[in-house]
Amino acid sequence: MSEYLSEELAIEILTRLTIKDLARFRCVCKTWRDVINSRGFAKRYRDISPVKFVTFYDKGFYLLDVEDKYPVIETPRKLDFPLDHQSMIDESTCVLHCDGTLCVTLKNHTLLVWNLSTTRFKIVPNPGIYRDSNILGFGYDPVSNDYRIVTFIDQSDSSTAQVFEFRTGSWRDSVRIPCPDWYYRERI
Amino acid sequence: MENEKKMITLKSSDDVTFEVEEAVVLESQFLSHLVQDCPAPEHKIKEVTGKILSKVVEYCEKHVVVVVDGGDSSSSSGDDLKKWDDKFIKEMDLSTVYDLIAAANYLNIQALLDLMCQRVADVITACKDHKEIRETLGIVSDYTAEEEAEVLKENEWAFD
Repeated sequence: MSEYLSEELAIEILTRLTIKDLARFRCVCKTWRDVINSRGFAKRYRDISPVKFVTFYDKGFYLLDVEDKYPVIETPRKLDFPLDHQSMIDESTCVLHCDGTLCVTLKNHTLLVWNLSTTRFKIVPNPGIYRDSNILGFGYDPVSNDYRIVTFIDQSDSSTAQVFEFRTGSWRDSVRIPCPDWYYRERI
Repeated sequence: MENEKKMITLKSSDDVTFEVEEAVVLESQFLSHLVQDCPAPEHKIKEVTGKILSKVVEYCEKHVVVVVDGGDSSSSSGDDLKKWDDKFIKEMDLSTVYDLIAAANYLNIQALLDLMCQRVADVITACKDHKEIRETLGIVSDYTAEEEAEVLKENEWAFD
C-alpha cells in the first residue's frame, strides 16, 4: 500500500477500519503500527468516527454507537471491564474521558485509566485523597504530549494541585493554593 | 429537440483522449475549476494515465446520468447506482484501486475517493489475520520475531 499511496491517502483508508481491524493491522509492520499509534491518526480517526456513548451501571460498562449505520442503541456492546466490577464499582464511581480513554474512580480510591480501543489499562495510585467529592480532571496536554490527571489535596491552610504524569508514572505537587476558598464545594 | 451538449476533451498523461459532456467533467472539483478558469476545448491531465482516466470517466458518466435522471425515475435509482458501484469495484485489482484513489484525490472527486478507500478497507477487514493482510496488500514485515511476538500479545484481543 505504501508503495502506491502517500501516507495521507493510506490514512484515508485506515480511518475506515474498525478498532479491531486496526489492532490487527498494527501487527502487519512497524511503519503502519507507528502511523496507527500516532496522535495525528488518533485525532483524524476520532474526527470521522461515529460518536460513541459510554454508560455504566451495576452490571457493567456499555458502549453505544450513537451514529452507527445499524441501530445498536437497543443492543449496546458490553465492554470487557478489566477488573472485578462488583468489588470496584459502586454508585459513587465517577467516569471521566478523553479521546476514547476512560478515567474511572474505584472503590478502593485508586483510579483506573482504560483505553477502550487497545483495552490496555493502568491503575493509578491514590495521591492521598480519601473523600468521594474530590475535584478531578483528566485530559491531554499537547505541550508534554502526555495525558494528565489533576486533583487537589486540601490541608488546613492551603490546597495543593496534584498532577499525575503517565510518562513518569507518578504524582507530583504542582501549584500550592493558600487558604483555599472552596465555598462552592459542599463540605461534610 | 435535444439541446446540444457542450463537449470537452480530456487527455491523459499518455495522450489517450476522452470526449465527455461538460456535466461529466463537473463531477470533479478540480476539473470544474479548470474548465471555468481556462475554457479550452481540450485539457491535458498529466498526473493520470489513460487506463485510469477511462475508469474515472466511466464512473463520472454513470453518476452524472443518475443524478440528472433522478427527478423522474423511480426511487430505486439509488440502489441501482449502488449495484453498479459494487460491480465497478469488484472487477478491479488492488493496484488499479490505488491508482484510482490517487486520481480521485488529485481530481477531487469525493464520492469516488470514498468508494475506493472503502474498497481497500473492506479487503483488509476480510483478512483473517495480519499474515493474510501482508499477503493481500503485498506488505513486507519489518518486525523481528521478538517484536512480532510482543505486538501480537498487545493486540491479541483483536484475533478471535
